[in-house]
Amino acid sequence: MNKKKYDVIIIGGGIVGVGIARDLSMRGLEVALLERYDLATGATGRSHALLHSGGRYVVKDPVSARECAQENLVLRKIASHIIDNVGGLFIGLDVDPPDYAEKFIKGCKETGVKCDELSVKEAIKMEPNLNKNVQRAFLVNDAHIDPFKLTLLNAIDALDAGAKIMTYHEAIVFITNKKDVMGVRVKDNLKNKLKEFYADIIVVAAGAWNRKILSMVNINIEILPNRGTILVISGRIFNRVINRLRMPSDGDIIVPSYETNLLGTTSVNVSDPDDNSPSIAEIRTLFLEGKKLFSDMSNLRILRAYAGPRPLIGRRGGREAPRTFQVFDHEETLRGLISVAGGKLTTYRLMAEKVSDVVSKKLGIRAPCRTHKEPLPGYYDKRDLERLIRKWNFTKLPIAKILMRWGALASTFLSVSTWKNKLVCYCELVTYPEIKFAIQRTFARTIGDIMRRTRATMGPCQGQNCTYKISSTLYDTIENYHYYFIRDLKSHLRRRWAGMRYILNSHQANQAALQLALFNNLGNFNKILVGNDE
Amino acid sequence: MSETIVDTIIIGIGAAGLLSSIYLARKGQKVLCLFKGLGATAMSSGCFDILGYSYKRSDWLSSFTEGYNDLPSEHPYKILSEGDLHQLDSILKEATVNLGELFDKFLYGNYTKNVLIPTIFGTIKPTAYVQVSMKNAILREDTDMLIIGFRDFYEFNPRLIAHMLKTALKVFDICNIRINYAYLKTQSSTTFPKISLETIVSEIKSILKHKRTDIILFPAIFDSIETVKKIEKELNIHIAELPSTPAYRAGIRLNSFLVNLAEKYGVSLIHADDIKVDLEGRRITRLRVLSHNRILEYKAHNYIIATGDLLGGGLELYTDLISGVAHIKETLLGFEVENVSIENLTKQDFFSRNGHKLSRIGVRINNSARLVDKNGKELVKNAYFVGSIIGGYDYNVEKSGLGVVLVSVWKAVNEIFRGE
Ligand SMILES: Cc1cc2nc3c(=O)[nH]c(=O)nc-3n(C[C@H](O)[C@H](O)[C@H](O)COP(=O)(O)OP(=O)(O)OC[C@H]3O[C@@H](n4cnc5c(N)ncnc54)[C@H](O)[C@@H]3O)c2cc1C
Ligand SMILES: Cc1cc2nc3c(=O)[nH]c(=O)nc-3n(C[C@H](O)[C@H](O)[C@H](O)COP(=O)(O)OP(=O)(O)OC[C@H]3O[C@@H](n4cnc5c(N)ncnc54)[C@H](O)[C@@H]3O)c2cc1C
Repeated sequence: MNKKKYDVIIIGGGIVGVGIARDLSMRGLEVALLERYDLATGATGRSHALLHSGGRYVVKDPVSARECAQENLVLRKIASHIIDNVGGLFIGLDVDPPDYAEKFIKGCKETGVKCDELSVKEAIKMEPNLNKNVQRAFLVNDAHIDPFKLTLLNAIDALDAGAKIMTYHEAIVFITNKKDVMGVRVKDNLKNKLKEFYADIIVVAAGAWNRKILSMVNINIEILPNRGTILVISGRIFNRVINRLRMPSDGDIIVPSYETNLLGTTSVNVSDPDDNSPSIAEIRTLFLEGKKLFSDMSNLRILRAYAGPRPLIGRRGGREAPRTFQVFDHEETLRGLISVAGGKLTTYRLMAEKVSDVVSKKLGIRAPCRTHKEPLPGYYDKRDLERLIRKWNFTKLPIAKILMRWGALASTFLSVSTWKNKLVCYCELVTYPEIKFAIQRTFARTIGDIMRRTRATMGPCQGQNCTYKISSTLYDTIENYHYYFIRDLKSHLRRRWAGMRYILNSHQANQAALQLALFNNLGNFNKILVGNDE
Repeated sequence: MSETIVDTIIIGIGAAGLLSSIYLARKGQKVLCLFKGLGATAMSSGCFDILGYSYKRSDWLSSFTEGYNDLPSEHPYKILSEGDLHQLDSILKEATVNLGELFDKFLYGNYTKNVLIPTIFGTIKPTAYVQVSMKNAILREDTDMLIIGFRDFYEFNPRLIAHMLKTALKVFDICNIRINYAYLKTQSSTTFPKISLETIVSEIKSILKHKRTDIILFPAIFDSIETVKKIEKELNIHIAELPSTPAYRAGIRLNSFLVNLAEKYGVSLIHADDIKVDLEGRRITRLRVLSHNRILEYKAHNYIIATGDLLGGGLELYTDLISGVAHIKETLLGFEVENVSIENLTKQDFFSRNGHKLSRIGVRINNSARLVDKNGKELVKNAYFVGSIIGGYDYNVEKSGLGVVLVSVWKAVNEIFRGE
C-alpha cells in the first residue's frame, strides 16, 4: 500500500480549498487536495459571480464589508483577466425604505467602500432598462468574476507549485491514532474504489459540508447550510451590477455574466447541503422581485435556474448570519485537524491566507504568504489582445472567446492546431486540442467538467451536436472512461434537466423533447442499463 | 386573390403528412401539402418502430401483439383500433401492403416482428423496420461484426461503440456475436468525412487482410443508399449503417424519400410561412396562407393536421412562472390541449423506464382520428389529426413513433374515402 505522507491534506475543492492549496504550496509545503466531484461544484460554482465592492454589507455587516473592499482590490491585481469590470449601481426604488440611503452613505464612509451618488437621470441614462421609479442611485466598484475560472486557476497554480489535486475523490472516514489525525479514507467516485491518504495536518474546507464531515469525528460546529437560488436570463438587460438600496434580501441583485444576466438570490435554511434544487416558490419570488427593477421581465427568456448552499456561521442562518469567516483549530479533539468556513467568494484569498498562517505555524514554516502578489495563471495584459490575434493568426471572434476562457494559457493548445477544422462545439467555438488540454492539464474527467471549462454544450444547440463528441474524446484520452460513460451521459443530462424543469418554455421544452428522443428513443438508455450504471 | 380548391389539404410534411398525401393521391385525390419546415421525421434515426416495449414487462417485445393489452386505454393504438388487437393488426397489414415502395423497397422488416439493432451509442434497440442500408446490422447469433470509423472523426468512435456494444449484447443475452473495430487511416475534418469511394474501398480491403469479419458497420454518412450498395459490391462483403443521431443522414433520407414519392404521385408541396384557419361552426371553411410574401387562399373538403409535436411545431408549451402552470397549445387552430402544473409535468426522471409526461402530451382524438374534447365530443368535423401531434403515448419508452403515425394516417385516410 502506498503510504506516502503529505504535509497537508485539504478536503473540499471549492474556492476556499483550492485557495489554501495554492497558498500552502507556494509556501513550499507538500499538499494534496480532495474534492468529491469536480472543482467548484459546491457553493462556489453556483454563486452569483459578484466581486463585491462591499456595499451590500456596509450597514449590516461592516467587518465583511471591509474585507470585501480590500480583497476586491487584491483580486483586480492578480485576476484581472477573469474579471469583467462592469461596475455596479445601488438603486433605491419607491418601494424601498427611504432612510436606508443615509445609512448606506455613512456605512460606506466607515468601512472604506467607495461610492458616488448619481442623479436619477444619470442612472437611467447608464441603464436605460431600469424601471422609471428609481429614487436614488449610487455607483460602486462591483465587478463580475468567473467563480469557476477563479477556482480552476488557483488549482492550476497549486499544481504547478507541486500540489496534488484529486477530483472525484470523496473523503469518507478520518484515519486517526488516539488523539492524532493521520489521514483520510477516500472513495474514488468515478471508479468506485477506496483509497487512503496520509498527512500531518488535515484542513476541512468543504463549506456547507463541513458540519457533516466534522461530525464523523464527533465535532459539532455551528454551520448552517443556506440555499440560494439564481435565475439565468438570456441577453444583457443591464450592463452593470444592479443592487437594491435596502437591507440584503431576496432577488435584489442582478449581475451581468457573459451573454446573460444572473438574477438572485434567495435564502432558505436547509438541513442537507446537497438539497440544492431550486423550488418553484423561490423562482417565483425572484421573478417578482426582478420585475420591480425591470418591468418587462415577462418577455425575457429565462434559460435555467440553479442553487447552491452558503456555508453560514452561527445558529440562526439566513440573512441574519454574518458573512465573515472563522478558522477553527480542533487541536483539543484531534491534533492536526483544522477547519474553515463562512466568508464569501470575494474574500476567499484572505480566508486561505489566515488558514495557511495557522498551518504554517503548526509546522514551523516561516515562508510568508505570496498569493496577493503573484498573478494567477493565464494572466495577460488586455492590451496584448491585438498582438495575440496576429500571432496566432486567428480572427477576432474565436480568439476573444478562447482568451476569455483561458487567458494566456491558451497558447499551449493554440499552437498545435488550426481551429477551423477541429471544432467540437460550433456554438461556443471549442476545439479538440482545447478539450484535450482541459483533460490533460485541468483535471476534466466528465462531460460536465468539459462544459464548465469550455462552455461546450452551453450554446443555442444545448449540446445536441457535441455531447457525444465530447464523450468520445474523453474515452480516447482517459483510461477507463468506458467504466462510467453511460453514468456520465445520464447525470449530465439529468443535471441540465434539473436546471430547466421549472422554467420550461417553448425553446427549452423543444430541447428537452429532442434530448429525450435522442437518448431514449434511439439510445434506448431508459430501457437498458449498461456498464456501471446507477 | 387566387383561391384554390382541392380534395384534401394536409398540413405538415413529416412522415404523417407525407404518408397521408401519398395514400390519398394514389387513389386519385387532388391533394396539397402545406409546410413550414422539417420536423421530427428528419431528425429521427430512420428506423420504423411499431411497438418495442410495453409497460408491464421490462423485456423487449418480439411483436407488437405481445404488448397491446398492456397499453393504457388512452393510447392511440387502443383508441384507433377500438381496443381490438385484430383491428390493429389489419390496419397495419393494409397500410404496409398498400405501400410496398416504402415497406418492401426502402425499408426492410415486418410489422409483426421486431428485430434488434445496434445504435451509434453502442446500445441496442428493438424496431420493426430498418432502412435497407441498415439491414445487415440486425443482430443475428453467430456473426463477426467490424465497426469502422475515421481517424479524428469523433462523432463516430468505433472503439467506444465496440466497447459498449459488447456489454449491451450481454444485457440482451446474445452471446454469439463478436465485435471488432478499425479505423481508416484517412484523416478527416470534423464535418462529414469527404473521402472518395475508391479510397474507402481500398483502405477497407487492406484492413480485411488481417481482420476477418462477416459484416462491416459504418456511420450513416452517405446521402444515398446507392453509395452503400456500391461499396458492398466492390468489397463483396455485407455493409450496414448504424442508426444514429441527427446530422447523420438516415432521418433526412426517410423524409426525402417520402417527399419524392409524394411528388411522384402528383402531390403539390407548398411552403407556408403562416397559416390562418377559418372555422365556422365545427368545420374548417378556408385557409389563408402566407407564402413567399403573398396571401393565398385554399379550400378543401377535408383537412389533415400532421403538424407534429413540440419538435415539429404542432404543439407549443409556455410556462407561467408566477402561477407555475405549463400551458400546452395546439398551434394551428389554437386549441388548448392541457394546462398542467409544471411540477407535475416534469417530475419524472429523464431516463425513467415508465416514460416522461412531456413526451406524452398531445391532442385527444377518437377512433376516426378526429379531435375531441375531454368528454369525447368532436371539435372539428372535417379535419383529422395524425402523427405525433396525438397525445397519450410515449414513443421514447414504447418505441412506437412511426407506428402511431402509420396507424393514425391509415384511419384518417379511410375515413376520408368512406365519406366520399
Ligand atoms: C446562491 C449563492 C450566491 C452567492 N453569491 C456570491 C457572490 O456573488 N459573491 C461572493 O463573494 N460570494 C457569493 N456567495 C458565497 C460564496 O459562493 C461562498 O461563500 C463560497 O463559494 C464558499 O466556498 P467554499 O470553498 O467554502 O465552499 P464550496 O464551494 O461549497 O466548496 C466545498 C466543496 O467541498 C466538497 N465536498 C463536500 N464534501 C466533501 C467530501 N466528503 N470530500 C471531498 N470534498 C467534499 C464539495 O463538493 C464542494 O465542492 C454566494 C453563495 C450562494 C449560495
Ligand atoms: C431523435 C429522434 C429519433 C427518433 N427515432 C425514431 C425511430 O427510430 N423510429 C421511429 O419509429 N420513430 C422515431 N422517432 C419518432 C418519429 O420520428 C416521430 O414520431 C415522427 O417522425 C413524427 O412525424 P410527424 O409527421 O407526426 O411529425 P414531424 O415529422 O415533426 O412533422 C411535422 C411537420 O409539420 C410542419 N408544421 C408544424 N406546424 C406547422 C404550421 N403551423 N404550418 C405549417 N407546417 C407546420 C412541420 O414543418 C413539419 O413539416 C424519433 C424521433 C426523434 C426526435
